[in-house]
Amino acid sequence: MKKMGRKLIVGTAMAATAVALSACGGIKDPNVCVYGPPPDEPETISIPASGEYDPSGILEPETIGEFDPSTEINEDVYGPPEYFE
Amino acid sequence: MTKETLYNLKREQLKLLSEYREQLYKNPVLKYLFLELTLRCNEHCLHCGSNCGDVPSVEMNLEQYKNILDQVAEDFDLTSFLLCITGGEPLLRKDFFDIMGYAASLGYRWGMTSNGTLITKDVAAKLKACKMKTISISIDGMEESHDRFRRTPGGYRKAMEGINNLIEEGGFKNIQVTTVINHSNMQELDRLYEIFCEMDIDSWRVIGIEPMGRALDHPELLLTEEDQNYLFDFIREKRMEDMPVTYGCSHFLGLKYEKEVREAYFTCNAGIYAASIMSNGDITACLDIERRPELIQGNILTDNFKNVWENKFECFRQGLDKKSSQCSDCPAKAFCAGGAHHSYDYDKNEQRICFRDSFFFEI
Repeated sequence: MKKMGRKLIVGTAMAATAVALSACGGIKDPNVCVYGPPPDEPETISIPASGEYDPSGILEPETIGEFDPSTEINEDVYGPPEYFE
Repeated sequence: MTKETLYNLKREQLKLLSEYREQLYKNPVLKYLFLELTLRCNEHCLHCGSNCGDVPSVEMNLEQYKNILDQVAEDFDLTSFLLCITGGEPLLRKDFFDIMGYAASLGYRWGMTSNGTLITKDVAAKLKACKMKTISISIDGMEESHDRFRRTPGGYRKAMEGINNLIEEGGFKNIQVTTVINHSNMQELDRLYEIFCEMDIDSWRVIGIEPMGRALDHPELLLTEEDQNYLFDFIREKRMEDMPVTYGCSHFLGLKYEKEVREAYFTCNAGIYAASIMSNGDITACLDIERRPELIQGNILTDNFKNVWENKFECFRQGLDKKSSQCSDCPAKAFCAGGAHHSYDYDKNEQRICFRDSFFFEI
């Protein structure tokens, strides 16, 4: 299997999680329905007809927190939340 | 950043998703159209959701499929959805390549599910010639488990050969293996992972056995809470290593595992993103949903699909939480909307799978 090739550029794994959460928009489903084939194209964020859906506000600095270089987090690792307090 | 901060992020996004879903109920978007070409199968899996082999396979003919494909092509932008070919085993149809060659000539994007046992080198070449984009092949355990579970001696070797024939042919956007994990083959996850890491597949989807179809007759195979928790931890760990292992689309998992074991948050696509045409022409939402007359929205042989998609499907365009008293006091119902349609018990009006009371569920 080939690696997914995530490139998360922020400093902490938690912030990386936030970016990953935000970038995906929460709408795309790469696996269709339970026993369907995988999609052939990368999913894009679906915007509702009203155009109101906008997760970008979630990435405000006061939400994510400051980068802490002392944690020495691998930028490419999507870490589980309980590692960070 | 704390765990609670992350959970608040997820809650915010789930709230946005629930608002978006309400909009989808009013303005659905066709993204996946399933064609069930047959209910015949050369295997007889213990967990088959369609009871293949135990029910008659009423099938449409080539001319009827061409008419259907023409009709849908006229009414929809073919670049906007994926045509998903399934069964039974679709390759059992002698006219499979006539149907799919015609679909390709019209410009359909398509993928399929298959047990892989019939994918010879020649078949792999024909699939590429018919412009198949993606495929999911079932491998349900190590060789002995797979063959026993699917009741097909030699099935594992033939399926693996089929996967390798596809890999060697090349030119497909996504070759995926799908594994249904049950209580008896849980311990094979690590070994399967090692095997799939050595193969040039694009992704591995792991699904817990679902209580539908023939699986309802085998409660001993259903996953315990501990099994589910182990499975989610396993998948999350692999994803942390950047490996393309994913849970299936089903079920709201709670804040601990939502967005951790698959790319997207849970949403049941039935009737808002996905529609299906059964082998007999009946139109419904998802082929894994219980086949009940009241859930059939029309028949493609007499009805125009676009009209049905736009004007029917009411029962799927509202959350199941509105129907089930089980959901009335649940703090997760706005995020979950009552769960997946395919695991819903329409007689008892309750979910067969709900993780709300599981020890790993957080909200």
